[in-house]
This record gives sequence, C-alpha cells and structure tokens, in this order.
Amino acid sequence: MSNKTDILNELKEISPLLLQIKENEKSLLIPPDYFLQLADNLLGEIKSESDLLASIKKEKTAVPENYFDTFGDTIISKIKEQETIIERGKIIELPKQEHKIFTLFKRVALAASIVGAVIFVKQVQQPGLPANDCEDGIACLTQDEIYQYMNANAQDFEVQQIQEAVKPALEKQETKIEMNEKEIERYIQENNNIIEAEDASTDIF
Amino acid sequence: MKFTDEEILAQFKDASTKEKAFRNLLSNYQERLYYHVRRYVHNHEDANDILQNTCIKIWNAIDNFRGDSSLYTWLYRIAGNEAITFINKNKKRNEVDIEQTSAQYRSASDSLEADELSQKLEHAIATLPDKQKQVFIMRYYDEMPYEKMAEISETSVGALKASYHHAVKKIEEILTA
Repeated sequence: MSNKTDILNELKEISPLLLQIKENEKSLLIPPDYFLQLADNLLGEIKSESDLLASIKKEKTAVPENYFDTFGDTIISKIKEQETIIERGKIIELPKQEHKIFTLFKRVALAASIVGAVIFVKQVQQPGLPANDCEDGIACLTQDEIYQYMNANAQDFEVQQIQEAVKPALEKQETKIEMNEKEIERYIQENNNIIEAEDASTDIF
Repeated sequence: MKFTDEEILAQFKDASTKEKAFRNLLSNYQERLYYHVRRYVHNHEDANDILQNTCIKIWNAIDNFRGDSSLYTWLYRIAGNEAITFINKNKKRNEVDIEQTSAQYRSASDSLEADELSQKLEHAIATLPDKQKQVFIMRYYDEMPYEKMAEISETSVGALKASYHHAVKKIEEILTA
C-alpha cells in the first residue's frame, strides 16, 4: 500500500468530510514563470544585502590614536592606585549598633520614669486631699462617702451590711459626744414624747 | 540535469561554485518548499515573502549544515519555522487575508460550494496551535509519512499521530458547527 493511500485511508477513518474536501481540492494558482525567476531574484537580493553589510563593515569606528598601545598600562596604573589607597587607609572602628529591641526598651523605660516623676510631684503639691481608707482594697473612699452612698441606696443593702459599713463612722461620732448619765436622763425627760412616738412607729416591723 | 544533495553541498563548500550550488538547490526544492509555505498563508505574496526569507536563511546558514539530517529535512524545517514566524508577526492581517484572497489564486472553474468549503478549512487551520498546524499541513497537504515528519519536527511518531488526529477532529468540528 502506497504512502498516499495510507494517508487517505487514515483520513477517511478520522473524518470523511475532510477527505471529501481534499478530493475536491483544486490546484493553487501561481504567477507564470515564478519558479524560473525565483533563483535570479533571490541571488539579486542576497547580493544587495551582502553589499550593504560589507559597506557597514568597512566603516571603521573611530578610536583615539595609540589607544590600544597604552590601554594595558593605563589599567595597571589604575589598579596600583587603588591598592595604595587601601594600604594607606586607617581602619576606623564604627560605633556598635545596639540591638533595636534594647534601644526601644531604653526609650520606654525613660518615658515611664518621666511620667512617674510627674505624678509624684503632683501628689506632693496637693496635700489637702482627704486621706482615703483603702484597707479593704475595694475602693479608696472616705467613710463619709460610703455612708452617703449607702444612705442613698439603702434598699440595695441588708441592715447588717449597712451597720458594718458605717460602724467606724458612728464610733467616731460616739466618741465625740461626751455626756454623763444626768444629762442623758434630763435629755430623755425633755424629749420623752418624741421618743415614744418613734418607738411606736418602729414596732410595726 | 539534476544534482544530488551531496553534489550540491560540495559545490557550496567552494566559493567559486556557491552561486551554482544555490541555483541547483532551488531547482530541486523550490516548488516543494513553496507549496508547503503556501498552505500556511493562502496567498502568493505572503508565500513568496516566506520563501525568500527561507532561502536567504539557507544561503547564510548552509556552511553550518552538518548533515545530521537529510538536506530536504533541514530545508523543510527552516521553511516551516519561517512560516510560523511570519504568521505570528502578521496575525491580524493574515485573518483578513484568508477571507479576501483565498479564492483569488484558485482555478476559475472552482465551484462556489468547493470554494466556500476551502475557505472554511483555511479558517479552521488558522485556529490550530502552531505545532498542530505544522503537523496537519505536513500530513494533509504534503502527504508526508510519519517517520519523515518525526525527523523534521524532532517528535515521536506516536505524538505526531495523536496530534494529527486532534487537529483533524478540531477542524471537522469547526466545519460542521
């Protein structure tokens, strides 16, 4: 089986349509004498191209006179010059660069100490402020402030809590009232009506 | 008188017979090379440009031809590469040319239907990737055996068969769409 038959059979198997197109294909038209003139045309073009290249090659690039004669010496003297500069030069130790994190830490520490100093000075300059009882560690409030707050919000607390909270304040007040028994009796007698009325009102609870 | 490849190559080695060698080489291969590149571009002017570029390259590079492959394989490879380069350079213009000039150089006796089909086929070939296009043209138009195609494209026969099959199927799909 010839190569052409193989190719046509293969095409028939893959695509009968393409085989049909191939069988009906007409020959391509080419200008007359094209192939007869092709060699002459090409050789003419090659010659003109090589002439152009030859003319470009003939033009010499201008180079200063004796450039290449002295080129080696110029380079060697430049190298020697650089070597002597290196030999003469002192070795200067550059300051050590501290680690960035360490530098940052130093700056933060400095800033913190300045802020601390400012707060301390302010505290010293304002001695008139009431001393707070901070023993409980809950809040730095005076006993009066606690008493006023609890008075206003009495419904939120149990009686025992209120008594414990105000106990120190009451103790202070009690110590300030110095009365003997005679004075007490006289006070009771004078205010007997009021006390009885108060007792009566509290009996309800 | 026809010269063999060996004789032509020997003539090229001598500067005094280089021009003669070139004429003999063209005499042997110009038509085959022309029809090959013509399948890529569909009009004579472009085919002529490609063939001229190919021949100038051959003239400049013939001294480097080592004879690893046959002379025709070498020439054919240069022509195919030149055609692909030309198409990629003139891609947009070439698409218009297919429509305008596909029928220009065909026989006047072409039927309208055959002409339309040929034009569609050229369109379809133009859509193929470069490698598939080369394979299709070598097999479909140049009717080349796979072994020769493998030598030219430096690809295995199996890969070429697969590539040709894909190309034909793709073209058929476009034609029947």
